[in-house]
Amino acid sequence: MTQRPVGRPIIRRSHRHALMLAVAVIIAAIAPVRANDWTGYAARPAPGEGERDSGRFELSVGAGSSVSDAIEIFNLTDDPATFDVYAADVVATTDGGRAPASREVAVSGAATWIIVSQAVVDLGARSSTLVEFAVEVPADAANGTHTAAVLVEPRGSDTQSTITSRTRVGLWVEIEVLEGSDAAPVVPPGPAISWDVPWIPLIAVALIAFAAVILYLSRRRWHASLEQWREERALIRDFRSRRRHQAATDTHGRRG
Amino acid sequence: MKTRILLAAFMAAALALPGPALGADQDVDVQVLPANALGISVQEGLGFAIVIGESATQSFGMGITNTTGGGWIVTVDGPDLQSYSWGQCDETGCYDRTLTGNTIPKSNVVVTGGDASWGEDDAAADSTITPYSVALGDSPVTIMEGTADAWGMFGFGPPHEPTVQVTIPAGSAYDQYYTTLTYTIMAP
Repeated sequence: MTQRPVGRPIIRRSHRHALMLAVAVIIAAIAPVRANDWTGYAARPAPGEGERDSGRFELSVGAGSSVSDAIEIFNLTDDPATFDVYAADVVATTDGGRAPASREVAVSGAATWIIVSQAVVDLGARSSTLVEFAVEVPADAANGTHTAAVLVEPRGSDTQSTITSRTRVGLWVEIEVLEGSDAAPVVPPGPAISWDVPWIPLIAVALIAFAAVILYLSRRRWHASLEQWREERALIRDFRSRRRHQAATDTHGRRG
Repeated sequence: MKTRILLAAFMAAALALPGPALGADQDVDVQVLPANALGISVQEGLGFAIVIGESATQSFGMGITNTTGGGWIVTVDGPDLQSYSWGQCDETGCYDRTLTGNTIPKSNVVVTGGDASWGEDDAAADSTITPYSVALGDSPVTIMEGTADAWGMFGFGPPHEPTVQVTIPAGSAYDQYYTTLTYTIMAP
């Protein structure tokens, strides 16, 4: 039986290459086929209470009050994407319908009441996020339904063509302004915890104080234990010394 | 010996797995979509070369996602065509569009919506897509309306594909022009 030379790999280079090739073939064969990007992105009212399946928000709020909700944006592609989120007023279409005003038109109606928490959203491949918005109705707003839209517009690359196309998804925001006392409380469907609220730092301070107290107490207890241990050691040492002394005295006495 | 057995096992596994190019295989491609959502995609750029006084039409691909419980509409809006020149060009393309002052009214741009999904036979029985052929105006124009079940990809062949027609009116300056059209999808 021949000995394998020292330092020679167990698997020869040609075998290693064949192994790598085989692994690559297997990985290529089982890797999922790139899915059809379809529309690349989508948007919807964030899941929550009330009607959420009609591409619109129906919110009730009293004049001088505010209400929050959230829009969910989906990046359906295999690449990261950036989206602009903004509010727009409603304008009439040429055929008598309605549409969100173009982005360049300054807001002047109910869209001015809408404050989007995040105007620019970066999304990784195949991911989604919630973007909250608040509707702050002025105290002098007239009762009744006011409509605006929240729009999600992906940032596209500039083309060098005669016609460049952009797309956007519009979700209607229908705001029913009620008499102050009639306004029903609306629970925003977005994240339950906001880092803006003042009690978060309070909790942090309380936790730190609690940890400091625990540390202080445990140090005190440790010191006390150490003292006690030292005393016990001294007593034991003293006891042993006395016993040795006693034993020596007894031995000496018996010899004498 | 063990290496050879290992290699043989890998090769056997590779051969046993179905190859995507074999004729008997069937790719099943599924895009998982969020419920209650709207989405739209449109071919980003269309290039034209048109003689003064004439028109040209180009079709383009459009995709609609509608998983809401209701229908949808698509409107289009955009500014006039504006003349421009490129400030900088290199091997990767041109940059710094500089406006040169000539315009062609946007009423010379006519957009037509698509009117069928994949193929008429495959469309849901109760799906209805109504296309409109409209010149751009001062307000957004509606180019398509669809019912709840009407959605998919458009633009896979005439006569169902969306189109853009551009007319260069007599008296226009010999120049290069561009505009940006914004397609918005929303509930009616």
